[in-house]
Amino acid sequence: MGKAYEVPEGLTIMKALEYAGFRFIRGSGCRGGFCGACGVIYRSPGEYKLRVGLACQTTVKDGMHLAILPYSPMVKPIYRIDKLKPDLGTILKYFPEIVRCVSCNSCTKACPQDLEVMEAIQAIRQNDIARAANLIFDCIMCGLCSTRCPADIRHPYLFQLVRRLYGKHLLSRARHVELRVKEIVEGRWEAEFSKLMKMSVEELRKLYTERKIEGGEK
Amino acid sequence: MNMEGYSPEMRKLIEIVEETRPERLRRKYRKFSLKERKELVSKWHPDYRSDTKRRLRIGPCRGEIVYSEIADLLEAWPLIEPDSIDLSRIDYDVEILVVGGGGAGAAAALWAYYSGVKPEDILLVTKLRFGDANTVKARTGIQAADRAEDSPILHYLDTMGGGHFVNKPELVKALVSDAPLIIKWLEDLGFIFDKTPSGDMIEYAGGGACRRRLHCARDCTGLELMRVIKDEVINVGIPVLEYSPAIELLTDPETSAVSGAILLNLETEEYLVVCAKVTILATGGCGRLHAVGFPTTNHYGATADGIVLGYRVGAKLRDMDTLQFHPTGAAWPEAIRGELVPEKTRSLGGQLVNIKGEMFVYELEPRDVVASAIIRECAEGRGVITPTGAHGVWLDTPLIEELRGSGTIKKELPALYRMFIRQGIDITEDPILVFPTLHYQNGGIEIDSYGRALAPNGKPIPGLFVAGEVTGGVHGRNRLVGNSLADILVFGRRAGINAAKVAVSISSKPKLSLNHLKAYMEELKRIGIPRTKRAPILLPDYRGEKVLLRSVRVF
Amino acid sequence: MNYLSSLKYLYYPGCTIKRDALEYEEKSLLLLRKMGIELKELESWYCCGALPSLAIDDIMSYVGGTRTLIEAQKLIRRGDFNGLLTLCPMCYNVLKRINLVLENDPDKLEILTEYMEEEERYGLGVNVVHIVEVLAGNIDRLKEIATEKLTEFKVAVYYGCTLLRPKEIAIDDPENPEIIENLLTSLEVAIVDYPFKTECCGSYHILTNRNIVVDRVKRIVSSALRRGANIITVVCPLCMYNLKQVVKEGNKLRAMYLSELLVHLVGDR
Repeated sequence: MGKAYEVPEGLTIMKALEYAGFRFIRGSGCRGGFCGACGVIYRSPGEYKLRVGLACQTTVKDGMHLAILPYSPMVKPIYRIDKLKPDLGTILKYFPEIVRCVSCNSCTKACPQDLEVMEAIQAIRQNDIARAANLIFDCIMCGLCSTRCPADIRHPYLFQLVRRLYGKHLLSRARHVELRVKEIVEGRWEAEFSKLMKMSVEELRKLYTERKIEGGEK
Repeated sequence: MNMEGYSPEMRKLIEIVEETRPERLRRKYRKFSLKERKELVSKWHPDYRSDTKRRLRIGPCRGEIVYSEIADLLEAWPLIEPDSIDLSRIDYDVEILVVGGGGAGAAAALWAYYSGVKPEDILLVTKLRFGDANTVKARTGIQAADRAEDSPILHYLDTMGGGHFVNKPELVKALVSDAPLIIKWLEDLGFIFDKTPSGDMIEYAGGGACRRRLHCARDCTGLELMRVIKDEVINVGIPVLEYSPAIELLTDPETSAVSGAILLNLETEEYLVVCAKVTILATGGCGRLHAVGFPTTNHYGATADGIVLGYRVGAKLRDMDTLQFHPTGAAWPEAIRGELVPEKTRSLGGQLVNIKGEMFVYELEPRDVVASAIIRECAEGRGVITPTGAHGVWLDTPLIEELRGSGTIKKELPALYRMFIRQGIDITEDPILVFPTLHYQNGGIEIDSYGRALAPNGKPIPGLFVAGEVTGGVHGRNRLVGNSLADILVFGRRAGINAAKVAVSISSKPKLSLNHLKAYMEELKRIGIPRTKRAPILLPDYRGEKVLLRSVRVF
Repeated sequence: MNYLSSLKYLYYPGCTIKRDALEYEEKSLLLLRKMGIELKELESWYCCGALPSLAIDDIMSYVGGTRTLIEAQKLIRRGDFNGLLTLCPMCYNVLKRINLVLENDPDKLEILTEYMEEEERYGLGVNVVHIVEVLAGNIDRLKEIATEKLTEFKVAVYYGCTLLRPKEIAIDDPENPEIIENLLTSLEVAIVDYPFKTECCGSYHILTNRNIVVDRVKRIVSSALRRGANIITVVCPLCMYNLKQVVKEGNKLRAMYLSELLVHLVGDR
């Protein structure tokens, strides 16, 4: 953050900061690139570009200037997913700001997951919920895109709604899951369970060893 | 030294892997017999080493053997001085307190709400942000026996076998019977499963499972899970308090029932008092204790807080002498060392290969067996040593593309591909180096099938429910892939439902005390534990040694 | 060959078509297919920004449209497409005006090129066409397949604004356009003339002051009715939406997209 520290080569930004003596409360979460707690913006010497990444996934470079952005302020709209229609109308009700997208692509450039964020926003505007949901499936909701968006779009929550609309209303339901749940509720397996649960370890071990493995050795 | 990509020396070793690939493409390594498994595991797995554990000297499980890092936490002073805490000023007065903001906590809160508790009468507290948990890092999937070719009975058998037959049968039955119901619930919430166009689940094979049973959301199943249920918790209006871990439970001085908790606001450092009719502990695991010096796949807050809190109110621990080392953590590059390479990589056909390009284990043996085999290869000099001195064996990822067609990796393992390409390694073209990494706490606080915490006498501790990784008994001494996500939702749900029943049945407001802690502190004093040893530790400390030696605490 | 009478175009739907005018798209695509005109929808396309974006001198609002033109440019290089076809006059207007502005003001093109560093440079060569132009340019094909007649109908053509103004991008004489009338007459459709065919429908005022739109549309519609029309045909989704504030189901006058009308003539099979 403008102050120089010397750290060993090859560390991630997160580990380098810790080596230098910082102890995180905010700004460190899963430490594996999945939670979006450690968004970081940085500039390297000789570069005019502001770059982004995750502190737990980005290796430090000599002379790098950086700041951790552990939170992107935004309010999540409240909804009941089962009451919603999976279309643009629903989305505009909660996220009217998306019509302000001018396709500047700043969001895409800010995405540490390399997602096609602008394409997803445009897909939503084109009422193509399935395409949008698939484009932003890997979103970790760090909010870095939202901090760069001139249209003030709340991408993490917008995309969450899009994914749930897709999963809930546009994917077909698994019939076999429903059947199995019905069987279990009706007690179809109870007798076998009580037999199994009374077995000695030796008996169980025998059953276990003899069970057939699907697609196993030929 | 170039810390990204592969060095020329490593490139030479990769050529060996490439040479043996065509021949390996055609075959699989044979499966070990139960006897061979046992020999391998008892020689090489850290669980079987005597220098990694010790006997507990105090508390409800005095005399039992646990990992030394766990014993250190249980034999430590609390963060607070009981007499300096003002319990008369209650900050939150609720029916149900949920401690933990991962999958188990969120599921417990939601099912308590579905069971009729008003959202504002529930409080979910979490140490970091809501969702910062091992749940988001679970990659491979959720086990549920819901195909016609499969049955809960087979799932039961697999789980018992994987756990070395010491799992608690009633818990395994609950796990396998509720798992399909959980899948249906997630579908209802709008979870995006890998499906065929007609809606059938695409299910994958997992180590130790006799049927394809893993339900996935690409290779970010846990991320999708956490995103969805977190969204739902907020939608239904359950209050969530972030950066506020529980640092002690409270007990009713008259009934000894658990009656709430003391929280610590990590940012302001003030304590907060919560009065609750029922408390659900869902604090997760312990990877950040780095047992036996292993790296970990766990999130930043996985410091076994719940074990410490539960033990101090008299909960029974079980199987705390066993930990799960995930066979495949990244061993190189250094920046991602210890991070998870999901089992799905092996489900898709990735083989494990030593420095000579030889297979040495069937890649879908149970996790402890695969981990032991890798440790053996490295200990006996058939592993690769990285430029930073770490050990590893090859996981032949390009083989997946050959077996299943080019493009498979980017489609099925996008997160893994991304993790490595950021470090200059294209896993569709080059294999990766892996070594076991501390992954999961197999044991924990023993529960019954209602999710109630048990005391050593087998009776439930009133007012205390426990769910998720912090519990013991479900997985025995070794957990199967995909059973953790099933566990947190099955037992989070059960804890939520049953906690709601209990809360409704209690009409009077519980009283608050720290009496149990005072008794525990007497024991600490008796065995002479120094006052500097304190728990829960809440967060690991990774600051450089030089800094710590010169640290001056002012603020 | 004149790019207006080609048989192969790229297609830019625009957001409104995909949400509020799906039937317009369906009929238009069917009509063109029957005429033997091939369309390929752009793989990626972006909101044009709609008309308000051009009311202010903000180069940012050209970005989306320019990206779409670049996307078309890439595909044109790969295949022999003769332009980018639009259904929505608003999209037509915006894309065509972006072309015009960038041709006349190289500095603006330079600024956009710099800004969109991740895209290739826009070379100004994409012809933006509206479906009406393509129908008129291929009138002989249309005549060949128009087997049905609409004898009992009299049609008032309503152009609206954005195909005709500003004059630099107009598809016909902005003061007295006849391109659609000529098209319909050659297909033996009876036309009524009336003085409001290029009168503004009120456009986006529908969002803030519905009365403005209702007043204007009433004037347009009653004039057409007085002249004996029983169909008023339009080519713009927003015009259609506004007309329907007054023209209701079961009225003496029906509002119909031109494409739908023509599909009746060529048969919908």
